[in-house]
Amino acid sequence: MREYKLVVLGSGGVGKSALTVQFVQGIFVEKYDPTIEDSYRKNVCEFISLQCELIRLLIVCLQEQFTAMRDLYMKNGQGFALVYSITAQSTFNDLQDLREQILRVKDTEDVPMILVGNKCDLEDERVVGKEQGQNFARQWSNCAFLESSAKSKINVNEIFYDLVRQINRKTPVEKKRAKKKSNCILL
Amino acid sequence: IPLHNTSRSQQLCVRLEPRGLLYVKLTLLEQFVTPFPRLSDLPPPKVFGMELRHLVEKEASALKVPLIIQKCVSEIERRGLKVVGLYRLCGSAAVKKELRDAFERDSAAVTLNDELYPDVNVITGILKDYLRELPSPLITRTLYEVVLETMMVRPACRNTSDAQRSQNTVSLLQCLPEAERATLSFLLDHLSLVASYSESNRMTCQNLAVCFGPVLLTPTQESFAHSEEIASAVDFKRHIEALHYLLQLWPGESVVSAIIRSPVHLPTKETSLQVVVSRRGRGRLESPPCNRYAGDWSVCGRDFLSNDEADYDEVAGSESDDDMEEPKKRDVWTSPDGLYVDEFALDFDAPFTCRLSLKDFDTLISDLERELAKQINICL
Repeated sequence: MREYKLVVLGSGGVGKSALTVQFVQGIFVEKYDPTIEDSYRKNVCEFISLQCELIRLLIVCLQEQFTAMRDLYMKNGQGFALVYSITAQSTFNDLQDLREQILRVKDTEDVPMILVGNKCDLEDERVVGKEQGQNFARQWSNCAFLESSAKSKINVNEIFYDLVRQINRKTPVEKKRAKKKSNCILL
Repeated sequence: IPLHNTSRSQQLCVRLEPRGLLYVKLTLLEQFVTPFPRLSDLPPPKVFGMELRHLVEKEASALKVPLIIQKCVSEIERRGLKVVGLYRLCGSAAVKKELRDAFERDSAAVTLNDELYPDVNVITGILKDYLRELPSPLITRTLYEVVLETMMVRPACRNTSDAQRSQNTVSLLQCLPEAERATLSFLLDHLSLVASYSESNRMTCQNLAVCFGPVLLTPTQESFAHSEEIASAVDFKRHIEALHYLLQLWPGESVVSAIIRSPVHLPTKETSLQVVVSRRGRGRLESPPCNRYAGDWSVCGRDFLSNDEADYDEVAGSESDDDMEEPKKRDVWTSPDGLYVDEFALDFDAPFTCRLSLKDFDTLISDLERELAKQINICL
């Protein structure tokens, strides 16, 4: 079975774990629990190559303080979801640094990545406009962009599937060859 | 004494005559060449990245706590205690940079108020950044190990608010250098105050420990630069557990912390102070607590293992029991590997060991002596 290493990154409290747990377990975590470092595993069907193929996603949630570990995960991760909260401007602004750091660690411009504006159910508290997110993504050499809500299950699976597709595009699956590995990491 | 040449860390135990054990731990540390600019090429740090001791000396504040910490903490306590996610959420990086520069220029001149820094998360962020960038972590390796040992001996239970235990916890910090001790107590006071508002801010001891563990117990960059990085990652969870333990048992703004902060200026607290002094004055625990924790010495052989507190008594005390131990231990030392565990260590109560019969003999003699003394008294 192929494995994908995905990393979810972003400031504290933007909902990285919430998105991941919603994706992996289908529940919304109400508990207020900052993540130290959690990894999740989920086997899913991959629809990309017409017939359904089982793949495994490794998703790592890291808390923001974990600067040293962050580099480690950046080095090993294959796809990155950069998450901000549409209700907090600073969580959005800080992603630029994070992206640059990933590109530096990876030493390439071409890294499977998606920009995610989470908590889009909280429309009343919105401070980061959707166009802002879209513009940002455009500047990031047309990075994928989604607004999501872990609570209302909006665009949750799409984040992870999109990353898998990007990874596949970048490193095409060698059919019926040795298994490939991938991971999903949440930071 | 054979050394195990393959491991990075060696532990020795040397028996001293006439009495006493000397535990020695040698750790081999490799120096790594870091890809970062050489320290000498950078401007010398003024606040961030400066040795705590030096900063405290330079600022000469009464509390022996860096001004940046004092200012951030008092502002956070003034308006942030009920903010949800305090210390979890982060403020804008740009504003943090601005505030950081201000502290670097002149910490004494910095004013933190609602107009200048409306987002309290900027202030918590700068405080965490400062602590994270300390050249050596505030919770030193020694304290960390002491806490781990204590956790094993006395696990924290939620319902104890026992003053004695709090005091014991406070006394763990005595193994820290002065500046670190003052600063860490100050910080733990603050964090327990924050945790006491967890109904509003949702930051319980556990949550705070998660946010501060990696900040207060940062591994060095070097240890991440090589193959031990995974092992260090596992360490993080233990770091958090250790901090959680400290926070759970920390007494908050209380008598005990007042003692640590400024024993001289608090005459009203003198009774409690005396408690501490008299406990230490009994002669058993003269060395700082960190020296009293021997750690795991099982590699030295079973015969050097003793029950957690018993060995302090043996070293410090002068009871005759100690002498009784000697012949037994020497036997064990020279006996072939593997045998002594079954024959001696687990068998204190077996009736026929050499040690017990000697002890019985001793008891018999002292009983006889007592009896004889009585007789004499009666005769007189």
